[in-house]
Amino acid sequence: MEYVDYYKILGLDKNASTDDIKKAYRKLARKYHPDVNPNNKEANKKFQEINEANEVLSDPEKRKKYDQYGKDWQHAEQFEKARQQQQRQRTYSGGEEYFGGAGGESTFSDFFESLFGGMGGKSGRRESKFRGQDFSAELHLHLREAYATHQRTITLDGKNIRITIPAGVEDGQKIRLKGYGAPGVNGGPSGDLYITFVIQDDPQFKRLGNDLYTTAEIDLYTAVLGGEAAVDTLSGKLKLKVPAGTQNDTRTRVRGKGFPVYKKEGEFGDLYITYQVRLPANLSDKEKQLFTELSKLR
Amino acid sequence: MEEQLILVQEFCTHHHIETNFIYSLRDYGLIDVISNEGNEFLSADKLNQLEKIVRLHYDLDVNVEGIDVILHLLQQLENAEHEMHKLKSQLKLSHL
Repeated sequence: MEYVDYYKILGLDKNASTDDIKKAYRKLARKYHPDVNPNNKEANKKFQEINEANEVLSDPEKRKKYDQYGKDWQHAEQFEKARQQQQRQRTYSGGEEYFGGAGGESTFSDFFESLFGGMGGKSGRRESKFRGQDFSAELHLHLREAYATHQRTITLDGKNIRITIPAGVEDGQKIRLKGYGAPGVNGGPSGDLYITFVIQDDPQFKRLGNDLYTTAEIDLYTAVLGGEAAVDTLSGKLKLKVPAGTQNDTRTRVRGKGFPVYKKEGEFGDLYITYQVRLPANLSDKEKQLFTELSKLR
Repeated sequence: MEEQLILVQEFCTHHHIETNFIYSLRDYGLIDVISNEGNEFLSADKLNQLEKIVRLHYDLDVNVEGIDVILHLLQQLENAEHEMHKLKSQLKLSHL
């Protein structure tokens, strides 16, 4: 466990006044507060550090103890244990302020816990009830899984949560499960669980909004003379008419065969198919002769 | 589906804040307060946003004008991230 220099975290020297501490904390808190740094884990970590530094340095009793024992915190712990046994009294109680952010880990460092025991209580606006922290989680889905509405059970802190994932959910889309975050303190409400969907790419289909893109191979003769092509879609095979004279890389659109529109039952995007013309290989002598004849006609 | 409502007074008691703060937010156009049979309510769907506003004001000392700017910028940031995501998907298409 490393010694934490709370003065350095707040950019102060040891002679800083209460007012200096308050000002430094406010300035850094505005910069790193989770509400102004959404999805920024680094900022969230930094905010926890400055919050912990403020928790200690803004409380005269804690600051005194930190200044006295801070560098030699291991002895402070032993000393405090002995003192507490003698006095038989609890040092701190109370809850933790809610500051948002991700994860269910403790807000304070091991160093803090070691020096001050539990969480530091702070008098103020919300001292009686605090909302629990919000949790964030990622749920990875294959593109084909996101195609149909289905149920999924996720496990969080040993608790199973069954959720329904509507068809058409997008990559990066976030849903909120109210009350599935950390429990509140002193009877406060639980935080929420935010799930971000990560949709994995499919080798055959690319998705853009509600439209799907794929490729289909056709042979040279179908491309030149026209015919039919069997194309895979996410809802089965589809037979398409290929017009005569279809060039390589021609793109065609099939309405309503794309991805389902999120929470709009029966609505689908379009499917775009790019034809790739496959040239015949390993020509026989006869074929070569016929192609030569053909080339002379042009 | 019926909208779930929370009494303004209840919200303020829970968060230990003045009701005047809520009304100043309404007057500034940052939130909606719903009046019904002499009582005033907040929409439960908007509580997350309101709690964020409360934290910005009381934890970070940001005034109402500052909150308005922050919320606009956060919205722009979210839009930009969404756009970037969309463009990344389009780039992937070029490999098709």
